[in-house]
Amino acid sequence: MNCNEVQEKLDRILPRVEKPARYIGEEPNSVIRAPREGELRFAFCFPDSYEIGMSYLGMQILYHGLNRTDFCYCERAFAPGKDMIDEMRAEGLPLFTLETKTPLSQFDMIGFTLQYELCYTNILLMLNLAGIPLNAKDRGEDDPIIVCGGPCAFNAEPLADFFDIVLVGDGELQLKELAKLAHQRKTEGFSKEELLLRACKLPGVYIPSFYQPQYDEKGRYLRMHKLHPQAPDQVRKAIIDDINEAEFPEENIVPLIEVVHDRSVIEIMRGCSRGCRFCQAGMLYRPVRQRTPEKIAQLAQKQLESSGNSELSLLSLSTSDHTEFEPLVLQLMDYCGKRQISLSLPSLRLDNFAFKIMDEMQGLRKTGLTFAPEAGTQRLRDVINKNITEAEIFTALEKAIELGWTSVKLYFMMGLPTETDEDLDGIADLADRIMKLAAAKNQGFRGRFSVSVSVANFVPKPYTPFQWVPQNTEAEFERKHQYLAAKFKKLKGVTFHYHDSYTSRLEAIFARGGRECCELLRIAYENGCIFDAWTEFFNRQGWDLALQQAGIDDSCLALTGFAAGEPLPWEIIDCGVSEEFLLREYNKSLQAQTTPDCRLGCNGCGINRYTECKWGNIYE
Amino acid sequence: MKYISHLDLHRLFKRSLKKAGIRTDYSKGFNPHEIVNVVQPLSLGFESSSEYFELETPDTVDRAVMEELNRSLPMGIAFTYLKKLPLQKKNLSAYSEYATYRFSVPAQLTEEQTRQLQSFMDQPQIMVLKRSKKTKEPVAKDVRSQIRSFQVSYEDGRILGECMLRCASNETLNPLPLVQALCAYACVEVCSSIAIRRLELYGLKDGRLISLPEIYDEVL
Repeated sequence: MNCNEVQEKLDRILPRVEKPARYIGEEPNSVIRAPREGELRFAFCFPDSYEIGMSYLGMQILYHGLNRTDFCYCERAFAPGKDMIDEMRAEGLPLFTLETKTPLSQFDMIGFTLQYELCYTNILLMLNLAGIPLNAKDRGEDDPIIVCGGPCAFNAEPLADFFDIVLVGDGELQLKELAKLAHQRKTEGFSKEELLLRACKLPGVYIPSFYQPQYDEKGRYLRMHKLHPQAPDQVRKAIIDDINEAEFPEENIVPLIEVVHDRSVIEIMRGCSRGCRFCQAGMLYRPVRQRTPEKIAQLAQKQLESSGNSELSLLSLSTSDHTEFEPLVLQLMDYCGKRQISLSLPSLRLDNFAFKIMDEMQGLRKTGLTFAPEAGTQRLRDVINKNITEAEIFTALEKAIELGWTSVKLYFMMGLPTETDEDLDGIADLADRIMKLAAAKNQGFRGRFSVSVSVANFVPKPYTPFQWVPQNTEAEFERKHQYLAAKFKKLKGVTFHYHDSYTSRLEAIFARGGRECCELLRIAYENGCIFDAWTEFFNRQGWDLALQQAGIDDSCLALTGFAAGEPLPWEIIDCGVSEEFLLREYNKSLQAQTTPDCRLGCNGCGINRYTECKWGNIYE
Repeated sequence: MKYISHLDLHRLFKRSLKKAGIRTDYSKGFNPHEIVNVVQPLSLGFESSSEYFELETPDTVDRAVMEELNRSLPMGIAFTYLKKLPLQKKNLSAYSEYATYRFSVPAQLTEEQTRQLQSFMDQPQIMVLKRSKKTKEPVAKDVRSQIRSFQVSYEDGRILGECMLRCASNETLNPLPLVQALCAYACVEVCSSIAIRRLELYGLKDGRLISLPEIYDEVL
C-alpha cells in the first residue's frame, strides 16, 4: 500500500474517531519531506498513546539526532486508540508513520522505546497492526529490523523473541552508529545475519538470537549459552562520557493537541548519586553527569523560542543536586519571568532555597507539595537508603504551612524488604502528625489542610540491591491494603490511595522474568490484552488465562526471588554497576545500615571501571 | 488542519504569538490568562475559509508581524487579514448572528431522490436531532426558524449545497445534523463522510447582514 492509499483510507476513518489529530502529523518542527533515494528509513515507535509518547523527551532527542544525519530519515508512530484500531482493521489500513503516512512494514528499521513493563503488549499490537511477523525468527531479509532501547531494555529477555536488536545504555551515539550500519547494509546489500554480527561489536548492542538461555530440570535459569562465537560474553551498556557533547534538540516537535506535558524540557543531569536501594534509574544511569549552566540556558532559550511554549521544566533524577543549581535557577527564573513563562522544577529537595524560589515563582498560587518518604519508619527508610528524615519533612512542612500551602502529597511503597506492620503504622502515623501540625499552625482550623497518601506496591527491579528479594504475594498486598485502609478511615482530612496488586505482580514478572515470558506476552496479546497500564482497559481475564496457559504462577522466580549468587536471567547485560556492589548494598540493607551519597566519598559501585566518574568524593 | 479542536486552535495561536514575541494582556483575577479569543467555535472535522482571532496586546501588530506569525503556523492555517478593533468589554463573538456553510455529500441518487432534495425546505417544520443540554440524549427539534437560506443541488455523484444558519452566542444550528436530516428526508444512504466548510460569519448592523469584523468602523 502506498502513502496516497493510506491517506485516502485515513480520510474516510478520521471523522469517526476520537481525537483525530493524533493521527495526522503536521506538527511544527516535525521533519516532513520526500524520502531520498537510498537513505535509511527509520520508524521510531512509542508503545502507548500519542499524548504520552509526545511528552517523552527521549524520543525528541533521538528523532532529531537521526534526522540531522545525511543517511537517515526518522519518522514516528504511536499506539492508536481502541476506536482507531477497530477502524484500521475494518478498513484494512496498516499502521503508518505520521510524517509521510508510510506503512511501517516498508521501513528498514523500527525502534521501540521500553519505558514501562505494562506497555509490552502494545509493542505486539503495533507490529501486528503493521502486518509484521511478531517473532524475529519469522521475519525475512526484506522485513524491517526491529530494535528496542530504554530502561527496560536492560532486561529484554521477556521480549527477546520479538526483537532483532536490543540497545542498552545512553542511546544518542549508539543508535546513530547502528543506523549507519543498517544504511551500509542497504547500500552494499549484505545479509541480515551480517548486520547483526557487525552490530554486536558496537557498545551496548545485544542480539538475543545469538544466545540461548539454559535451564535446569526444574526450570530454573542456569546460564546463557552463546550460539555465535563472535558474540560477546557479556554486553556492556553504552556510556556517553560527557553529556555536554551529547546531542540535544533545540527545535522540538510541538503537538497540535494537548498532550500530558506541554512544555519545553531540558535534561540538566543524568544519573543520581543518592543510592536509594529500590531505585533502578539510580543504578542504570550512573555515573552522574551534568550539563553546564551555560549550555542549559542556551538550550532553554532555543527550545522556548522555537516552540512558543509557556512552560519550562528541568529534568533530572534529583534536580537540586546540580552543583550550580542556585545560580542556574535564578538565571532561568529571570529569563522566564520577563517572558510570561512558568518554570517547573520537579524532584526538588525542600530546603530554604527551594521555598524562596517557589514563593517567588508561584506568587499567590500554592499548588501541592509532594514528599516521597517511601517508607513509614526511619528504620525502613534506612533499609532502603532513602535519605530523608522525619525532622527534614517536618521542618519543610512547618515552613510550607506558614507560607500558606494547604495540601501535601506523600508517596510510599509497601512490600519493601524487612517490612513489618509497624512500618505500615508509621505511614498512618506520619499523616496523622502532619494533620496535627497543620491544625496547630492554623489555630485549630484544620479544614483548610489536606493530606493525600499514595502507597505503591514494591516491585523488585534488576540491577538494584533488591534484585534478589521476593515480592509480596497478592494476598499479602491485599491484607496490607486493608490494614492501612482501616487505619486511614479514622483520620479526617487524609485521603488514602493504593495501587492494584495484580498489575504490580505483572510488572514484577516482566521486570525480572526470563525468555519464558515471551510466550506469556504473546498469549496475553492474543487474549486481547493491550494498554495494560490503563486501568479502564486492563483485561484481567485475559491475563489470568495467559498466565495459566503459559504455566506461570506465584511460584515463578520473578516473584519469589533469587538466592544471592544464583545466576540471574538478565546477567548477559553489564549495567556498569558491579554485582559485588549491589550485593554489598543488599547485605547492608538487611542490617538497616545506610550508605552516604557518593559525593561524600566513593562507594565503589564499579562504574569508574568503564568511564571517569567525576562525581565521587566531590564534597569529601 | 480540520481535526484541530477549538481549544487546540487557541493553544496554537498563543504559541505562535509567543514565538513572534507578541505580548498579550492578561486577565486580572485568581488565575490570570491571556486575553485572546477564537470567535465562534468550529466543529471538529469542519474546514473553514473564514475564522477570526482576537487578542489584546500592548504591541503593534502589522503585516510584517502577521507574516512572522504565519511562518510558525502549520500548513493549512494562516492569518490573511488584520484589523485593529476598539478596546471594549464584549468580544467579537457577541456580535455573531449567522454563519454560511458549504457542504458536499458523495451519493448515488435516483431522479426521485433528486426531486425530493429540492422539496426539503418546503416542509413546514424541519426536524433535526439535537443533543439535549441536560440529558445529552438526541432530541428532535424544529429548526426551521434558524435557517436563513438553504440551496441544494445534485451534481456528478455529489449532493452540494450552501446554507446560512443561526450562529449566535445564545442559539446555534450545527450544519451537520441538518445535512443528515436532509439525507434522511431524501432517503439517501450516506456511504462516506459529509464534508462541511464554513464560509463566513455575519453580524447585523442597522438590520443589514455584514461580515463580522465590519461591525466596527475602520479603527486606526
